[in-house]
Formats: sequence, structure tokens, C-alpha cells
Amino acid sequence: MVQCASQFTSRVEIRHSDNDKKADGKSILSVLLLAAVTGTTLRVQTEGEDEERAANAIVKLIEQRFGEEVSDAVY
Amino acid sequence: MPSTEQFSFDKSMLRDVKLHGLAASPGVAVGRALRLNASGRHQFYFVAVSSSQVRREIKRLRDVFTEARAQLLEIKLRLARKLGYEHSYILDAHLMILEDDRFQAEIKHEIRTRKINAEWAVRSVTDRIVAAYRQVQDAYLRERSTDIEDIAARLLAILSGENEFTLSELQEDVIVIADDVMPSTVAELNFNRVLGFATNAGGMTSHSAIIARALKIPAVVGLHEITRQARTGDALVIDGIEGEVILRPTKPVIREYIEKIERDAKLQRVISNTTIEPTKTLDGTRIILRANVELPNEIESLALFGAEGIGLYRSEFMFLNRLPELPSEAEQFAVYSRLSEATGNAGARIRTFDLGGDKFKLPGFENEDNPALGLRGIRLSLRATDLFKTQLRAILRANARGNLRVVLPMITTLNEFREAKEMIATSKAELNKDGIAFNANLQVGVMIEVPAAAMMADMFAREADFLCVGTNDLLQYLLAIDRNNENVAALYQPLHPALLRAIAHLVRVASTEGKALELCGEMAANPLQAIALVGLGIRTLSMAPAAIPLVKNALRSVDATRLQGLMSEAMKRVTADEVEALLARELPQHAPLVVQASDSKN
Repeated sequence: MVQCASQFTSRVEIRHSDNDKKADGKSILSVLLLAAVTGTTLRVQTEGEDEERAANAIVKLIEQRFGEEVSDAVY
Repeated sequence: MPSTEQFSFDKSMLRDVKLHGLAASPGVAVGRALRLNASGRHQFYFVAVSSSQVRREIKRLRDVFTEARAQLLEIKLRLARKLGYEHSYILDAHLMILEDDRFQAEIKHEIRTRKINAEWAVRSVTDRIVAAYRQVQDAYLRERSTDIEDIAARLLAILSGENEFTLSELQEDVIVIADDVMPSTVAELNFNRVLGFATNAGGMTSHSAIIARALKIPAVVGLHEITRQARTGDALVIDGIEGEVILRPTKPVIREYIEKIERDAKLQRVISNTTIEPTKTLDGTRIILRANVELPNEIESLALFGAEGIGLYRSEFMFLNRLPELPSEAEQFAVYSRLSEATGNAGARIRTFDLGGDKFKLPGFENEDNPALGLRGIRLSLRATDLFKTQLRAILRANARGNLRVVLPMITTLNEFREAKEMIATSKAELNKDGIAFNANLQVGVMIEVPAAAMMADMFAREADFLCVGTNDLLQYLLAIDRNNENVAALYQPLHPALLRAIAHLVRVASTEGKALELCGEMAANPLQAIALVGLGIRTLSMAPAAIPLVKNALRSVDATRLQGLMSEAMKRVTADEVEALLARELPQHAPLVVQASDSKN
């Protein structure tokens, strides 16, 4: 996700739905500290020239990459 | 004699100090210690700098990051060349952290606002980050804090100008001793100069253990305080078969071990000329020796050590250093196909993911108070059904030549086995529907490692295609001993009559039901214990590849029919010590080497 976010010039912010902690989507250290275990609801906010493309790419990534492996709400 | 000398008595002068640890990689080495200190290796200090110097410190920092990145990339390349691409994952997390703009930005900010030197800024920023990570509940994330420490150590080393990271240029043969060897440190050692590892921490799956096995050098881990007791330059002996380290050995002890090494080397040479010959005991009983494999790279050593296929592929090692990222079906398919191709007709047994516990914790699963008795092995696979199905599909597809088999770990009740079988059937149906080629004829075995499964083995034997005893876990659960717990580790006795009786029972059951029985576990790698297992009726053993030649040689020197009588006698003994004494008396040439305490101070 960090790699994906880094491709865009927009600012990418990830928010943890439970505790409202936020992270810089382009920083591995920052994202890891969100401590979002699988199943957590995350809010992605982008701002900048390519904000729409960035947001779409990240959502798509989460759907494809994580979605495929976390379906059935088992883990 | 006792005099003022007593006051100056220096513990570091004690000779022949024997430490017990975990035999993580077989072999014996005698050499001098190189003590690596993962943390606090460098002296650094606080320096207040003037506004004009701030700019210089920031430039230093930028250069250091560039240099550190170059070093890591080079190490990654070396590691990939030496041990294969799978291992180089170890460094990906390091690189990502180093490339994180915020990390560097935060250190720069620290330099600017506090007007301090780069060293101090690196230290205080990483300390803050590490402290934050330590509070996280998730084991995977907590683990990342050691990566950050590792990076900080590297940055500080480069800043200090002293190039401490010249391990790759070692000119002398050394035995590396450390608290636990950091992945990047192991990776940059000059492997040709490292005789072995001895570490305070770690288990069979620690980085040092895995890499030592891949390099075929001895390693003893879990020694608790070797770094306190030994210094760089101290002579020591490490015995990666018995799991022992002898510090500052006296001449007779050194001689004894050197003889042992020479004996082993001679043996290895003799054996290397005959490894292709199948293993037969004196009376012509055919024994099959297979290899336990954790990393696909070990495949190359199979032919070298004369393994007849893979008796146990620990598939969960695919997760090592990359959780929570999960191996895809395509990636697994590639690995399993490689196993299949490399093992030919002898084939490979793939143990499905034995995840859970604390070593391989899947994201989304809670920490458990008692992981050994918790959600692990098949219990976890039956809950994480997507993960399990992905693996089953990959195995079914890779089994094109039909020489792969599946073994299910931690099976306790028959229902679990039936459920798993159903999932295999579902996976086949799905592959069929998708029009993807696979081999429908996949043999499925049960790992007998829970006492309940051993008691019910006849029922399992009726439904499973074969049985496989996992002696490590069976012994742990049978004796209720956690061998990584130093308070009770001494009670972990493979020759305990309780285990011998359990194995004899399994041999009987398998033979009655006409099913194959295989055995894997560390016992198989110990020549004396392997002989005992053959005496109990075991005919197929799987072990670390490097242990095969010695075991093969030992088995060629015994008579299986005679051993049967000896083992019925052994099972009547009351304790493991009595069994060991009996075997040592009857098979003196195979008894483990006992090091005589020597009075000599030379």
C-alpha cells in the first residue's frame, strides 16, 4: 500500500476507524504504527493533483490484494 | 592454597565450561569466538552544534542513508546469490524503512530543532519509534522494532566512520557468538570464514539456525548467556549434534573433538562415495532416509547427502519474515513444483501450514496464553479456510507427476481429518470447474503428534493413506515438557520409555492396517536414537539433510533383527536414563561422546 501511495503526488492519509489515529500513507513506519489488524475499517483520504486516481488505486489495491485473502471474515 | 588469589579469581579463566543449548544445525566445530554485539556496539555522544553546523550534520545524515541503502542492497544481492532468492526477503522490511522519507525527515527535524549531531538525532528518533512499536499488541509489528534497531546500528556505524560492518572481510575462521544474530548481520558474514554459530536466544527457526542449516555449519542456539561467558578470541567447541558448547576447552578436550571432527570428516568422505547406495542394515533390512526441508534452497543438498526424497516439507516457512503478506497460489505452485521435480520418484511430503503459536502468528488471530495448546496446525487451517484452500489448490496442481503427498499437522480427532479431506475434495471440484489441470490422486497422511491421535491411531490408519509420527511434538505433549523452557528442558528425553512404547504401538497398528508409517523429528538425526527407532520397527525416517550420512552409516552397522530384541528390553526399562545406559552398553560405538572433565589446566 505504501508503495502504491508513493506513486502519486497527492497527500495520502489513512485513518483508523476505531481510534481515529491517522497515518501518512506513504510512510511504512507511520502506517505500521496504525496497528490495523486485518478486518479493521480504514478511511483513506487523498489531497492533491491526482487525488482521485490515488484514492481509486488504493481502494482497488485493498479490494484485490487484501480482499482476496481476507474474505469470509475468517481472518 | 586458597589465598588472596580468591579475590582475583576470574570467572573468565574457567576452563571446559559446558553450556547446554538447542542443537540447531548438526556438526562439530572448534575455533575462536567472534562476539557480535547487536546493540550498544558503538559509542556515540551528544554534541550541540551551531546553526551553521546544522547544515553539515544534515548532509552527513543524507550521505549515511545513501550508504546504508547501498550496503543493504549489496547484502541482499549476496544473500540471494548465496542462499537463493527466498532468503533475501529478510531484508525487504529493512529497505522499506530506510526508504521511508518520514524516517529521514524526522531525524533531520531533530537535528534542526534541537541543534544536535546526527548520531544523537538518529538515536533519539529510533528510540522513540522503537518505544512506540513496543506498545503495539501485534507480535508482527513488535518484531519490526528489531528491524529498526538493526537499521539504527548500521546508520550509527557508518556515522562513526569506523567501518564495523566488515564482517564480509573476515580473514580468520571464527565461531560467531551473539545474543541473537540479526538477519542483516548473518547475511553479510563471510560464510567461508564462519565455522558455526552459538547464540543466547533463538530456537530451531531463528535466523541463525536456518542459515546455519542451509550453509551446513553447526549451530547451537538458546544458550542464554554465552555472550556473558565468552569473549572474542576465546577458544570454544560447539557441538551442533548434542546441543553443547564448551568454553575455553583444555587440550585433551580439544583433541577429543578434533578427533571427532576428523572421524566425521572421514566418515563423510567414505559416505559421500556410497551415498547413492540404498541404506540397508547388516541383515539386509531396507531403511529409507528422507530429508526434512524448510527452504526450497535446501533441495540442492538432497543429492549431496543421499536423501531419498523429502519426508517433511515445512510449508509454513514460506511465511517467514513476510507476515502478514500471504504466499499466493502461483507462488506456492512454483515452490511445490520445484519440490516435485527435484525429488523425482522418491517424492515429497508437504506438511500443510503448521501456523499459529508465537512463531508464525497470522494477522487477525489473537495472542494466546498457551500457544502450544492453542489454535495451530490443522485447527487453524480449518478456520482460515481461504488460506488452506489456496494451499491445497497449489499442491493439487503441482502434483502433476503424482509424487507429492500431503501430511496434516496437529490432528487430534478424526473429524478434523475428515473435514480436511472434504476441503481437498472441494478444491478438486473447484479446479475441475475452472478447467485447471491437476492430479486427482493425492495421498493424504496424518501427522501423529498429539497423544490422542497416537491412542486412536488404528482409526486414523483406516481412513488415512499413511501415518507420519512427528516425534518432536509427540514427545512434548506426551511428557508435557516445553523444551524451550530451561527449567524443564532436561526432562525432554527422546529415549523415554513412554515415547518408545507409543512408537511401538504405532508400528503395530500401521502394520495391522497395512498402511505406511513414516517418522520425522530430531530423533531421526541422532544416530543412536535412529538405531533405537529402527529397533522399534520404523523403516522410514526423515531428518535434516546434513544428518543423513552419519545416520546412514550407523544403520549400516547394525542388525535390525537383533535390535528388535534390544528394544523390547528397552521398553521394560523405567526411565530414559536406564534406556540410554542399556543402549550405550549394547551399542558402545554409537553412544554419544562423553566429554571427560579434565583437571588439566593446559
